Amino acid sequence: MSRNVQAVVIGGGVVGTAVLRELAQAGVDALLLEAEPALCEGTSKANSAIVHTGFDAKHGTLESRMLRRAADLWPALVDELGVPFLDVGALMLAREEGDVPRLREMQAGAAELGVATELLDATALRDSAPFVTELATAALLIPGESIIDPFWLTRRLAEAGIAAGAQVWTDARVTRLEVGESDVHVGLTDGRMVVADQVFNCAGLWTDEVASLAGDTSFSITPRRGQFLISEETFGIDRIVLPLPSKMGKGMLVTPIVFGGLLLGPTAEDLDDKTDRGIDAAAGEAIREACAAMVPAVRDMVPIRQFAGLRAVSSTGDYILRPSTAGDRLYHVAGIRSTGISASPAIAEHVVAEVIGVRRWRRATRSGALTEAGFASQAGPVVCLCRSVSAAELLATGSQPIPPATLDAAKRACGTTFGDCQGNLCAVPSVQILASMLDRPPESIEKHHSGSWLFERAAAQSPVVGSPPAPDVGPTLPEVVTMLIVGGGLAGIGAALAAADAGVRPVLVERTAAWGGPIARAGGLTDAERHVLDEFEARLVDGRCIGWLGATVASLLQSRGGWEVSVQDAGAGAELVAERVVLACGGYVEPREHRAIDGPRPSGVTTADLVHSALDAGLLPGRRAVVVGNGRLADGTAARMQHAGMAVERAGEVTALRGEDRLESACADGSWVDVDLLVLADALVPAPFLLRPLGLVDNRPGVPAPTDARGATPLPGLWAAGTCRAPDVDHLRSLDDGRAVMLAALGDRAS
Amino acid sequence: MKRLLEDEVVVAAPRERLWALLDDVGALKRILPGCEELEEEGERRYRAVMSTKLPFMTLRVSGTALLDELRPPDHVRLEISGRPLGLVGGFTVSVPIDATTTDDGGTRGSYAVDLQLTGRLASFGAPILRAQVKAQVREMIANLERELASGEEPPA
Repeated sequence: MSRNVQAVVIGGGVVGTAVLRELAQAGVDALLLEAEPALCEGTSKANSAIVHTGFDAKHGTLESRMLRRAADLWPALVDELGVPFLDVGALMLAREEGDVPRLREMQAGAAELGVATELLDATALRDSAPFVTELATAALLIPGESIIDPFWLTRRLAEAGIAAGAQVWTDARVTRLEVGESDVHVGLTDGRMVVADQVFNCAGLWTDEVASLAGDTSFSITPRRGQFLISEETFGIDRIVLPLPSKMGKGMLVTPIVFGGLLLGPTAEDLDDKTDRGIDAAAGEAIREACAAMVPAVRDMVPIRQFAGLRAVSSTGDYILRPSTAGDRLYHVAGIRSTGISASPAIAEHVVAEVIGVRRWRRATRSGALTEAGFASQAGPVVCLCRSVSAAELLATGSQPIPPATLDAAKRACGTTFGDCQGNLCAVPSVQILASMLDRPPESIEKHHSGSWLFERAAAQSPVVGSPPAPDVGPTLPEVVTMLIVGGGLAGIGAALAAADAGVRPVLVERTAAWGGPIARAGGLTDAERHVLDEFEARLVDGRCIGWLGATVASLLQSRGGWEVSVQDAGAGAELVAERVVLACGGYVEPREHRAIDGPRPSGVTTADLVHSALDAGLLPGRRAVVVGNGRLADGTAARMQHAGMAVERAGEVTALRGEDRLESACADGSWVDVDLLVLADALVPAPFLLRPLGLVDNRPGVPAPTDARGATPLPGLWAAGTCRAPDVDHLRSLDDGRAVMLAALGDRAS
Repeated sequence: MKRLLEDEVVVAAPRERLWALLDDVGALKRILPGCEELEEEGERRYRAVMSTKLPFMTLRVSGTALLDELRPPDHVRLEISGRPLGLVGGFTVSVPIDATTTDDGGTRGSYAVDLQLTGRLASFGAPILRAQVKAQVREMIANLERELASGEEPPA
């Protein structure tokens, strides 16, 4: 099967999609080929997300020229694409003797390039940015430096291309490239062939390999790894803060993230392996130290993730924007080191204009309206607790011109799996929704690259311990709820029974489809706890407790009558007013991303939370696993996995991982074991989701609900019980604490 | 509630004229940015459906607008609370406004914007929200000035 087009673009990163848009809007019949299952899987997904002005670019380079031209193009492009973009500005700090003259040199250089800057003395700097180190004696303010969401940008560039008539093929890896006098034959892995008048090589890190398919070895690309930390807490930092450049490069930056939080880094490590996105704890510490030297507050951050991106450094030291030595029908757009986002509009304009001139294609202006995904008016159940992403929001991504085909693509499209728990609470429902949206089985959904499988279908002969389905309709609620309990684990059940015994009819809301919490799911309850669970279920039947499974308390707002509570479930949910609220919402098992575990970030690195969700859904999250932890959650999780047919090893600690796409081995208690699944079950992070908007905790993970000894929070009528105030992965005291806190709450009510 | 910003604005109209607009539901609807529906449902309380265009998303919200702490012509507090349609969570925005007369007979409005967000809106992060609120306030002032100007036109 072959297809003829005017132009093929190889590579679906920010540069390739920008070229696609430019071609399509110029009236060129264009097709983009992306090797991975989704766009934005290379350098474009892991970078500083800054739109640079180019104030410090090396004069006379293509990079500098493109950056300056791009600065003129950005305002209209942001309007056209409707992408999250903020001109936050940047501060380059002088911290040592001799730095101020260097700042002046930078300022003069910027002025020659036409970039506006302002030199701030120590007082002006302190007034404007009190968060910077007291050692800073001056700073160069570059107001035009901006931040953007690179995922939205790449997606919207592609959508703009599609709106103007272009096509995008994913899972389309180029394996043959024959550059002829009159056309180029482009062969794909699956045997498809595209014949094009012109090919643009925008394959990022792989541009040299694509060139070599045509026999062109005129340049090479070296991967430069940059490791980053993400902090959800911003410490009041609202601008990019950066050091003066050194011989080693631009140094590490503190950058606000457009959707909130901070990005810190990157390191700069030249590698040989173009797939090595591994991270290490030492680099994390180096980033923290370098950034804390500029902004001391970040020393106290608790990162939610460390990740690495690979920049494409060319052997020429500059962008390579030229025809191939194999023939001018192949055009290289290569070596776009670390300024690809910033320069992409100008690069696209430049290369497309040049090729249209050479090919003598007739320009036509073509564009189409970019559509905006609309949500259903009902949000539906909460899928991602950390980012409060609803089923409606995830489903709306299905109407995008290129619906997300992987879990990470869904993350980039709507934020699911992006927050504190790093997907361990929401990967399973997210995959289920994606699968239904794409009309594919859940086990076919991968994490990112081909080979990064997530689940297998549980074999029929290995029964999983299922849970009852969530009801479609919530319970009938009283007009005013006297006592609302958030969370149906052991603490919530202890609290509910204490309330019922005191003659108060509590409403208990539980996110999952079963009562008892993680220990019950793991089959690890003691006889006494099981007896109490039975007693609670009897109270549900006799009506002394009201239970609501499969429902999530999405928000709490203080009001005059108590607490306005928004509950989301599979139906219409409910808005209710509660006189008293007891939070018994537990937490989540500390994910790998919060820990110092070296190595890459493949699929198969999970916590017990994800494993139980998967097993509940009839999915196996792996075949050979190592379970970390020695308590009853780990014991029960391991037993349930074995029961489902998985091979399980146990470990006290895992310190390193191997495997780029799917986990291949883990260093467990000092020895490497071949496993495709890591299950962490040894530490709990208290759930902050309802506490943060109330200002009771900041955005750092790990801060428990602030309570007095009785369980009262500083806010009237709001109490907390169990592991959300005293984190314990095995929930050993949860039942008793739930009871005790409820008695205190009832006593407080009586008084 | 978190204070998002404090600022002031000068409008070329006397305070009494501005105050009179608070009694006019039609004028309020035209002044509130993106207001699609506004119906009085109680003393100074209105049911509202509003549409807000973020740079990357259009939000439709349904909720309640309330004019509170009325001390004519010196002080009023506008409170809007509600939920974005299709998204999880809710919001309350409170805008206390103190009005004084300028030397040339206009009105100087000193205002603050306090915000409480839950759910999805809270996850958008402060930089976007601050930019959005500033844009909304600018739009509201522009709407107000247009309303005042249209009021000066002689009847046809």
